[in-house]
Amino acid sequence: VRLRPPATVVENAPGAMGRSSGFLLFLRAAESALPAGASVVVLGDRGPGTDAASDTLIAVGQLPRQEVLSPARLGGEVPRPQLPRYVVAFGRPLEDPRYRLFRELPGGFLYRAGP
Amino acid sequence: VSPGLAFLALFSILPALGLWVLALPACECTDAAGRTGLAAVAGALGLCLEMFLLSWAGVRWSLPLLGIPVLAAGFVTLAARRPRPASRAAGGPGAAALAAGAAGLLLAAFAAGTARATSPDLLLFWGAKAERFAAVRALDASYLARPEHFLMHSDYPPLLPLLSAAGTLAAGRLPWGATLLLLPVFVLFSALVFWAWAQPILGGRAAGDLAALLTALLGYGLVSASCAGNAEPPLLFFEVAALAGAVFGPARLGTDLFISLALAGAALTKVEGAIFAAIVVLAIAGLARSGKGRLGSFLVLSAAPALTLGAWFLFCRRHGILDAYRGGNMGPLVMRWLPRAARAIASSLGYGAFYLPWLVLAGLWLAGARRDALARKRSFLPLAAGAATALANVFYYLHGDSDPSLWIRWSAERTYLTPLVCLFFAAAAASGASFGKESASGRVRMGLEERRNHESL
Repeated sequence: VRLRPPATVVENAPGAMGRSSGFLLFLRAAESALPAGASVVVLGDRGPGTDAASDTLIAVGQLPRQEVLSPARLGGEVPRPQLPRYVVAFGRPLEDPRYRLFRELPGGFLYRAGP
Repeated sequence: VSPGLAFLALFSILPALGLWVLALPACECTDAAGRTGLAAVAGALGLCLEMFLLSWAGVRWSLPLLGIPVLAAGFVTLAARRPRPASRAAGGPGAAALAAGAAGLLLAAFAAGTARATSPDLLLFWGAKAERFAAVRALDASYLARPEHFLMHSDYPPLLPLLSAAGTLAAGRLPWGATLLLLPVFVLFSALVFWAWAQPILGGRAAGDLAALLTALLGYGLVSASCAGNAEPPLLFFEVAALAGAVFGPARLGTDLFISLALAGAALTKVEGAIFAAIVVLAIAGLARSGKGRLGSFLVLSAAPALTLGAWFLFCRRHGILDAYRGGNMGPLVMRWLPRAARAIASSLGYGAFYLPWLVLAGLWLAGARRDALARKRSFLPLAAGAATALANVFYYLHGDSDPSLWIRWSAERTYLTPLVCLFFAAAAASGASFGKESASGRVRMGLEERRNHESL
């Protein structure tokens, strides 16, 4: 038996909560890779029992130094200067020509708006 | 010191921040453990109000600014205290009760601390609010008003995020893992405040047995309902404090003032807390007070929750963040959901233990209530409060156009912890005689009328 503190606050929780542990670890990695004050959209791809609004709220708490915005801010009609500076995508790569891969993170990808 | 320890240290000194409540004569006649529980109520509420009022006044928080006024008030209170009269029912808890209570607390701490009972709401809004408030050293209404944060429930009562923000100031950043351990901290405070009121009436042995039972009940219920990091642990703490004062406290102004403070704490912790406060005020004024004292008691009991919740309402209105309290968000009352709601509630309340919590408490209550009329009378107030809160939950669930079954399965375990606690108090009030040796002295036979004349309190 090896005693260690849980890696995240949901590591041993039942159901969809427990499955969020990987998402929290991913956000922890993103937090240290993003500059303070950066605007960022978080895209989760976590399957049943999750939704974009919840993912955004979770990210708001896990990225306190950054400005987390809704995925709606990536809409096609948003002018390029008003796009969020960064996108972090959990699990699945982002396919958006306005963003370029900035860094691979454990569990996902970090993108930065192109010039 | 690690951030987690610093965060928990802030919560462990809540009783020191609330020593001023011992100036109430009704709060004098208990031992150090009981005084710790009583002061924790005042400490949590006082710190929350300080942070809220400073934010409203535009003054940024700092730990000295928050701590010095309440600590000074507490030390002045202690210095000015007269020697308290000896409790008529002195005595400590039995060794078995202490061991059982400690075991229950440790098991709850293990389940919560190892992330087995984490509430989704910790991740969705409680933690984020605390982190933000601590970062800007204020209750940041503009943060709550942002469209991206609309699911954070902008006008949810602020006590938990404010206290967590104070802990975050001490820790430097929000230690998410430590927030889970607030569950056992508030369970311990609940047991202590129950002890404060019950021990002088029931005697140490009986009150200790019941406090151990309460510890097990709260620990198991909160873990089963995945409430670690959620606001239920402080909510139930304030509810236990109010009910303990109502059931075991003397019918005096000081008791009513304390109950009023506890109800204010409940109302500032969750929306359900305001409903509980209204029910308990009506129950005490209507059932446990008589004659001329009824109106005065009603006014005193309702003063603190009405003033504090009113202030929060005004703050939200001023900053344009009214949401749940604005009304109209719940949808229409749909009575055809009643059969489905009843089925979903019934299937949710087993707590994974074949309804054992309910059955044990109902059995204890029945055993006491069958014995004599006074036992039945003592237990009527918590039974009425429990029935009313249970029905209020049903009423709440019947609102909306969609089938509430999923919503109920998701939340009923925690929303029905309040009626469960009320049933505990009914059992405690009625069955005190079956616990411990002191019962033989007849102290537990004191009814409401006798308690009004209980001079030593």
